[in-house]
Amino acid sequence: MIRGHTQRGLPVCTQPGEGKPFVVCRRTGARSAPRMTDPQRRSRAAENCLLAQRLLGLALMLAGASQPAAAQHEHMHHDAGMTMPIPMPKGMPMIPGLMGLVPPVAEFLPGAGRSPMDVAEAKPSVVMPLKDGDTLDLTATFVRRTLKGHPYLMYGFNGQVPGPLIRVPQNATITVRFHNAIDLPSTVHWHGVRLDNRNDGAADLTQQPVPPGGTFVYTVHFPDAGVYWYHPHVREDIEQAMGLFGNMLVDSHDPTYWSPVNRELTLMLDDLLINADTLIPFGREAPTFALSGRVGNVLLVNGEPAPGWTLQARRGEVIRFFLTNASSSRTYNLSLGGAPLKVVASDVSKFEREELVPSVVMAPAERYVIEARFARPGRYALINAVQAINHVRGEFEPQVDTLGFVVVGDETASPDRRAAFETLRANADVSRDIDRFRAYFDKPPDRKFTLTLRTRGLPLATVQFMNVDTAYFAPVEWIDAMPDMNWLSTGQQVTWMIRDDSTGKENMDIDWRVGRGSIVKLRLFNDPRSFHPMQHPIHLHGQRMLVVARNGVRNTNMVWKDTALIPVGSTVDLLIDASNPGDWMLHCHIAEHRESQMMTVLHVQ
Amino acid sequence: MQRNSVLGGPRFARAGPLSVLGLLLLAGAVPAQQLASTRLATGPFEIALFPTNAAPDARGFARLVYAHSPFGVALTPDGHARYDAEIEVSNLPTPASLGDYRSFVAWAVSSDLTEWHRLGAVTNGRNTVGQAELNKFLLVITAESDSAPAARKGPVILRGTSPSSWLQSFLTHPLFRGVSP
Amino acid sequence: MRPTVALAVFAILASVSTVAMAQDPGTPVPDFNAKRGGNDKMHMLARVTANPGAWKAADVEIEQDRNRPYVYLSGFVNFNTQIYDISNPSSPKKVYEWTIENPELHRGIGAMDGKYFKIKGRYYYAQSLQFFQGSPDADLGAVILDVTGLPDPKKVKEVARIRYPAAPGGFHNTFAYKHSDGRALYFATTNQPVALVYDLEKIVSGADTSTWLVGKVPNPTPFKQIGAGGYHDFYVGYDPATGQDKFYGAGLGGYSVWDVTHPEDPKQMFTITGLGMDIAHTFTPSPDGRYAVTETEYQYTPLRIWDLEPGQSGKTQNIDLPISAWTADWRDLSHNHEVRWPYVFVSAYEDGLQVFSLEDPKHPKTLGHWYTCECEHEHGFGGTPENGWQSTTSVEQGAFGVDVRNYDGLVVLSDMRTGLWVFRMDGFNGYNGGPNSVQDWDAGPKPKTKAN
Repeated sequence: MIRGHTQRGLPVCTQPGEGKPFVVCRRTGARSAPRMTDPQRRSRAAENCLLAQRLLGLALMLAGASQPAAAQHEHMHHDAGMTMPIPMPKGMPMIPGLMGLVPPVAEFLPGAGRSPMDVAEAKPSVVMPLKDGDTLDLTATFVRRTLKGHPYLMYGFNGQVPGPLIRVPQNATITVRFHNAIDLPSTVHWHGVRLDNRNDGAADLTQQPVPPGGTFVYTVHFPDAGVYWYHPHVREDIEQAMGLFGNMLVDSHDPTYWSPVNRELTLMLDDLLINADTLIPFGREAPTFALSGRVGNVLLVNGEPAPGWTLQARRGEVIRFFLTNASSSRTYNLSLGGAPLKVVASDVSKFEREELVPSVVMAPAERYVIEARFARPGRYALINAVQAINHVRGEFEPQVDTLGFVVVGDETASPDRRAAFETLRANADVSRDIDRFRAYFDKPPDRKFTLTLRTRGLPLATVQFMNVDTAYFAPVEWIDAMPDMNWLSTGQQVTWMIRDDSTGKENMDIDWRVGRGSIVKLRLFNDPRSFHPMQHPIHLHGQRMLVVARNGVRNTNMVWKDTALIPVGSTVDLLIDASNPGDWMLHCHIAEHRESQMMTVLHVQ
Repeated sequence: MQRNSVLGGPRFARAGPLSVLGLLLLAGAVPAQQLASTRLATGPFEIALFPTNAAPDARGFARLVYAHSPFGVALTPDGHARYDAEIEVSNLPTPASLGDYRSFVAWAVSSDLTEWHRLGAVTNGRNTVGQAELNKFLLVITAESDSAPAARKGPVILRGTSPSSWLQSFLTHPLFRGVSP
Repeated sequence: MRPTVALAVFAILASVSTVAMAQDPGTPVPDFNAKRGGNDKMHMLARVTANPGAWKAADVEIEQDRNRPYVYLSGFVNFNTQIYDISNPSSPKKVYEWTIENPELHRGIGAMDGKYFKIKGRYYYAQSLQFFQGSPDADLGAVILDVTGLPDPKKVKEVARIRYPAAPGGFHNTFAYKHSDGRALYFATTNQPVALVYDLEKIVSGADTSTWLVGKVPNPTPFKQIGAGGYHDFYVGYDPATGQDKFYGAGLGGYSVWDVTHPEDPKQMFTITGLGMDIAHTFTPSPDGRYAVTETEYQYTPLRIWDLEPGQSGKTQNIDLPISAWTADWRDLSHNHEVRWPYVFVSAYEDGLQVFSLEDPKHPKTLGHWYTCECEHEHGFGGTPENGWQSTTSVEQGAFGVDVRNYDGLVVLSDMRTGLWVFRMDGFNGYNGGPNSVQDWDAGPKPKTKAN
């Protein structure tokens, strides 16, 4: 695809797929390249090639070579035919040294070329009320999803995206017969649920992946009220991103567990990366977008592409939203058109105290339960608003995505829940539950893990750009500001790491064993000096934990969590209630980070 | 005294001569002796405070911490981070020794100096003030006639810049512009 | 040294080795600890520390009129301009100082380059400024002072500020040029792949700011694809043989020559590119445009001497082989230079003031030197850990800028570490040999003689 002219002195870059290395410009004559004096006479591709070559030379001279060039190149191959350009943020050019490169993995899309028209259109999520002892058949299938007029072949549970909303009473136990009808091995992980270890769905740890056509029976017990979600634990970067996720709503037996509201809704947020009308392919052998995770450019609410989600409401209506971030990498900052928001619960419990909040910050896999009151008629936009980074300008720029609308009519909601909404409850039950852990808040950490990464064989242009453009890393990457670099990074070049400070062991080599009933203090430090520091939503399976301090500052409003966001440069102390025996994964819930090995195991014995 | 790279460690050591520019940009015209005894910032939450000629012996260092938020990361609805500043200062003279002043006050100041947001009064020792809600800002401590002035009037005693100020255009980088000087 | 770095250095050295051989070997360079003072031909008249701290000065500019004995010193990170009266060259007297307001809140490399100019009988000085993104005034490129009233400091007035918000970071290098069409133009670098061209009369007369910028000279660098690759330094001169105003630009990617007879519509003429020349820094032609001296900015590189005839005549679009090269010390790096043909005055970083002759362009010959840096070799950029400056090794320390007064041959030099210096050199008592960086602000460019 990149062919320069063969006139004297012009570089000729090799064609991807010809079996030649990347970024090699072949000269055909003079000892140096004449400057382009007539741009019309030179192909843009040849310019790119020359520029790439010059950037490499400049980088060597200016910055020194942090890694041997040969080592950078030897791992880059490109016989995959993966030539899809990446949609760049507005105003952000592709890095010339990366033009023409493709990730060194084969491309993968669901269905291997099968037409989306061969399968049924995905249906919206359907509520599945289940009671103790019930059985649910849950099938991962191909579905057709039509987004902005274009059909795509994706996945769904029971033909739905999101999958069925499983609604069960607290302490219920249900049976789920999982059928794998997609083209990848899969499992189902019951995220946040403190269930029996054998049913956790952690591939290669608690079970073998279920092959295409296979079946696995899960017994799922729900000890805690609240909102949870289920998703595969095999190649989440593909399967979850393509639609395999759904919520579970666990109802407390206590009728006063929640404040009275007019309505309850679950909202699952995710995003898809689409170029024009084509899904950006995934990596078959390893995930692409390994550096920052795949950040989509189409945001969705309950599978509905933004800004299509719409909710009709009545004036004065108080609605409880059970929010789940099912995105691979995106962290949201949500608000609702100025409607007052009250946060009441998160992953595994209510907060000790309800709080009014200006917006809701939600990392991948986190859940928050918020209540909103719509006092006046009109349209309330559900927006995700962040201060994005424009690397070309070196400035922050507001980025606002409207996800949908709550349309409030003139009719008044009944009953009036205003008084309850305006009451910020202190949840004594939660505080009592936490009380027995308070004595451990200040204990020294039992373990200290550092979050970092190692790279090998990334394109040299990526390495050098990262070296020179790293004066500042935002504590949280809200968008993917460099998707070209990110796309080219795969799990073969990037190893994200959880490193045990005391032993130096990394990821699955860490030997972490505690006794059942232990109260374990884990200190996580997100190293800002790594090659590409980034926030990590750290998820612990099968247990619950408290965020007791961030950067030494005590958390004054606790909530039981299963996922905690660790911003760049931050030190976060987690107190783990290790009460559930078994082998439990602790990993980053950015799907590409987990697939790039950022996981370890807590053995509760 | 911290003596690591002014720009924060190994990354910048790798940058070779590029760190030179950063050194200049950070320190500005800080006299060498003052720079040598100033604690330097190393992470995305730290701000080294540099003294001015008004009080050359003053020393300061600030750490940004997210304001209280049930989400851990505190943002405004439009996405600006909400930070409190933990400011540790020493060797502040008595305000009156600098003129008709009674307090030292910390400000978050927009890069073009048009917005001065008062964070709070500071004294020698550790102070927690807040909140700063600007993308890029200067953290400035001035001498003032009272502890809660409506506007800054007094001289600058210590000044630093938010870590986010290090976000720079690709185009300003020597790699793209040629090299300095 | 890492293998790849060594390889790169080898490649660069190899590219210049043949031409470097052409330099007159002269006397052996001394050890670094002996680099003090100068040779017999060079006479140091004065030195002024100028500013406190490790960074004392950036560029220097001297006025050329006999009745205006003023030297302008750009104060680098001190964010100031100092004007010295050198009526007595042995005793410069500071008569005026301008500093950006709220200097303690600014960050950046500050006051970099200065150029004086004259319009309708009034004298002006343009101080280029570079403030860091995130600092106040990051969009400020230059401040214009009316300096007609010197030496009375009260009569110096600020008349304008040139801002260019499209590319924060200010103007690094500038050139004031009396165009053949009569306009006084101001060329300025920016963090974009163009040189900006301003009409100075519009600026000083208070015309609407939208009329100030009259042209942009592109840098045809391949780096422009990403909006990057600006010019670093340039020269503008009139070619009497063709009647063209020509722009000689050095920037990321190499060197390029443009016909700027109509600055609103520059026409590219030819380029100089080649291995090791991507970090092009300075480009100064001989009076007739036949030869040129260029600098690239990395250690070990010499100044390269070029025969531009194939490009000027249109025989080629690109020149890639110099005819000779010169260096003060192969271990170091030279910086800016002023050409008074056949002499080249060089502010040579660690090697201070150096003067060489291009009487035979293929065989440069060193004439004089004075070591102004008074520094150790490769011990940091302007300072050492001992005095509080943390940085990596670099030879970019010492002599920054140089200027020559044509009517009497007085040489002024700015040194980042040591300040302002004034020299005379035996055998050089002035220059009237044809076009050079000095402008005839009253009459404009006139046809002159060709180079020797």
